[in-house]
Amino acid sequence: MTYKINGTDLTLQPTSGRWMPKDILGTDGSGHPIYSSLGEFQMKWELISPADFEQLNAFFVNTVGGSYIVAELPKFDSSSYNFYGYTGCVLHAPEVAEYFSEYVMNAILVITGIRV
Amino acid sequence: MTIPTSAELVLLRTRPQQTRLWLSIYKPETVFQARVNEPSIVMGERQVQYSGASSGTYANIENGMTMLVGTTLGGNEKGKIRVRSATPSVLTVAENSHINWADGDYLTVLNFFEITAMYPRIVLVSGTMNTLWYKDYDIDYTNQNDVLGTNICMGSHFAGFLENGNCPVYYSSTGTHNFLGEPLEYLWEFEGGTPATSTDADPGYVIYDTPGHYTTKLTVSNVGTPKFIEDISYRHISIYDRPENGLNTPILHWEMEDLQGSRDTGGYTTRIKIYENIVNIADNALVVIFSENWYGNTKQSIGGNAQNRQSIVFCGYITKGSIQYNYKDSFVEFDVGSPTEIMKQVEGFSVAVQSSPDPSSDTDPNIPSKWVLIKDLDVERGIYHYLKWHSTALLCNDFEFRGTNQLIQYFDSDRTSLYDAIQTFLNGTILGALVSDKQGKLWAETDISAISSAITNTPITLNMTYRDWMEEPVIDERKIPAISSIEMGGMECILATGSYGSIPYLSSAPGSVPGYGGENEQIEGLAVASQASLDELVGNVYAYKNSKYPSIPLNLSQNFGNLDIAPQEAIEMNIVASDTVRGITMVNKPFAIREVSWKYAAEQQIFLSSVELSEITEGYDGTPIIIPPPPPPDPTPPTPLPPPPLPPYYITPYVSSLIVLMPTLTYYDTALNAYLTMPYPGIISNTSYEISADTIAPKTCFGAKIWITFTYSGGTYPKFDSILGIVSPKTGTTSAFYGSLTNFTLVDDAGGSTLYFHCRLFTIPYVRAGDSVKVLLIHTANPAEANFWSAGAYLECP
Repeated sequence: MTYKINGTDLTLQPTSGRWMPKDILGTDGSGHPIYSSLGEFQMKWELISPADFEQLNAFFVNTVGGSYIVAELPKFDSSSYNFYGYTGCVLHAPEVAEYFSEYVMNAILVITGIRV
Repeated sequence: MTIPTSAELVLLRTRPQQTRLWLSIYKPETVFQARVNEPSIVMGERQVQYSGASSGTYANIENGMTMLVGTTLGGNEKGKIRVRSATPSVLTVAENSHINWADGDYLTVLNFFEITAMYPRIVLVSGTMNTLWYKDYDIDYTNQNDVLGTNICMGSHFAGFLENGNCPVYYSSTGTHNFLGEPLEYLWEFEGGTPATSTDADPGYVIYDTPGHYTTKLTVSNVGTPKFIEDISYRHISIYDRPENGLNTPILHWEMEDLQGSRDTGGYTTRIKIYENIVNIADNALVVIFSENWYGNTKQSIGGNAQNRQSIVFCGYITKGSIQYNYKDSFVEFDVGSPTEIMKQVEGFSVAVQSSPDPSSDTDPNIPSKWVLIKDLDVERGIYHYLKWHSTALLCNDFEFRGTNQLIQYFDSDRTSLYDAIQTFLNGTILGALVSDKQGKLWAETDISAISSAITNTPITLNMTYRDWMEEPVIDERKIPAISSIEMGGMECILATGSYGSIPYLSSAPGSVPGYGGENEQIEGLAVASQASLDELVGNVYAYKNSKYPSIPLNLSQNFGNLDIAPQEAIEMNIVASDTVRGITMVNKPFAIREVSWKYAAEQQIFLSSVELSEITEGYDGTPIIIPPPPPPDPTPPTPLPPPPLPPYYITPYVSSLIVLMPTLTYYDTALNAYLTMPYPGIISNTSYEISADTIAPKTCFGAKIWITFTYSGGTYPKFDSILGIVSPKTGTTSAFYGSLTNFTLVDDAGGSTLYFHCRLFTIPYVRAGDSVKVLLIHTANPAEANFWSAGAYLECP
């Protein structure tokens, strides 16, 4: 059970990953919130080498033309911890904080457009 | 239809929802390219000689295609023009004066049909007062207004993806209507599709298997031969690869402001930004927004009036002059509007037609051309005539009439935009409106306020409860009537052979006594069927304008793709007292949709709609107003009127006498063959010359005087062949001659022994403010005469 993008293992698995809370787009007349059907998943690396980060960035560069990715992530609505290949997802540009020695700290990769 | 089935209604309310929108801009195929080969070509040329065809063949050019004119291959910097026809050496185009043609210009004919105006031409027959009338420059009348034609409906423009190698597109002619009920033949030609042709009225699904931009043509004609009616329409089809499947993708990097539609403005508008390098984006380009929708886990699109084209969210065009490039942030943005928005930007010529039982055989000597006669004219036929013969709107859009059609005697339109011409006509006759739906179909409808039994006759598209809107609904409740009384006037047109004419009716609501508050309103010139129908109409309109709930804006909680501003459909509102702090209750109360808009949140892929509703009402019948019969004719012959006073046009207020020095005198020296300035002081050689002076009359006056002064010396008294006072009216080109002297000899009135002064007075009957007043003195050479030193002229307006 590993994180994958377009079938490729991430050379360095994230330190942590989480499903982000969905935005509330409005509230209907009965008081029920209205959500998007799409989820957002965030992966975080506390420390990542430039080579590993380059892999993340390469995934993003390949989608600049408008293509979507297949992301294997922990399944959102599952009774057990297992991974599922979500298709048609959008990969955002990876974000980084400052360098620590030769490593990048707090790299974040966000995937949106995940039908959950 | 936009009325959902019960299964679709369940889906529409299923959450969560997802919508992915895609943007298509149609890229027309180049049909033919060549260069102008006409050294003497002039502005306004219609028959353009060409050579050097570099692409395509002239035989593929069809009437109505768009041609670009430029100084480079494919360029359009000189403009666009509609093509009429082509031969191996000549391209005939529509009447034009905006293209500065030049030999060698590049011509590019595109397989694209735009909304433009078509201009009539009226030619005065030389030496007579007769005129020849043509439509679109050279279309003579044969029997067009006798046989009328067919309003074609063939569905919207389309854009979609190849799925597993093919893209099925559904075709149907549902809504097509022939005015005389003729049996019809259909010929569909599906460029790029399989099958390639069909003669069925409803061919069903046609399969496209290659990405590209195609055109579908439908020809509708009478059955058999000869073909006395033939109407043609075109739709554009764009087929794309999915981004993950190929390179022929729609535009991927774009965003859109709210897509807003309003019946009051006649259609939809939005603004689009594109963050891609796209070439050849141009005014009037066809924009199609198509969608994929998920309701819960069910992937399905719902809505749209075109049969089986639910995925088409919007069809429109880039509005003229709206394209802006942002070089700093590298994007291009532009406004997009429904066909009605383009029709607002296209100026049409004035039109005047009238009803006739048999235009071809009509012998009325007052009719200048059969083109002004339409068989049994009614509102629908008037619109068809305008759109068919004065625009190309029917070439590229569905049109359907859903109004309360009425016979009419005349249809006149000023020179105005295509949209205004139709809108003014519809509103003025049947209180109707021209509205484009989301998919670009044009609907001519009677407004819901003027529909008989609107509450029961309006189809219901949705029954809405608190789960369907967000937050608390804002309900505009009218406490004070807006209208105190309405008086309406209309004409019933009688078209029975031998008794053509009209019967006038008047009616008022709420009755002979106005309501307690509000304003009075008068609406005249309507086309009605009877006094009773006018009574009903005025009562209904009065009720609508005083409706208790004139406006309810609602943000909806789902993507109700079935909602549209045309055709008119109702939403039943259900509000319980706890829904609002005011405790308003409604049970299945019908409301009409006045506005619809959609907001697209691309990241969340949510496409939520909002609406503005107005209450549907019915009123009590109004009260007829008796129109007194005209007085009997007076048996005594009328007293002749005195001749009309002069001047014929405006008179400025009387002011005190004005004397104006007529500006610099010039003379034409016939020997030198040149105009020279009168020297002062100086001497004009005593030769042949003409002296003229002119000015503009400062005011209107009778008995205007022209003073002419001369100084001269030596010789015998100068003698002029003629001295003329000329008044040119400020309008028109005809000059009026008032007063002249011939063979006039100057005699010294004053002055010394060597320099003589002479003054001469003309009196002319009148001048009008703004008239051009001129004095012309013609002199023949006579060496014995005195030499001129100077001359001056003054206009006195007492």
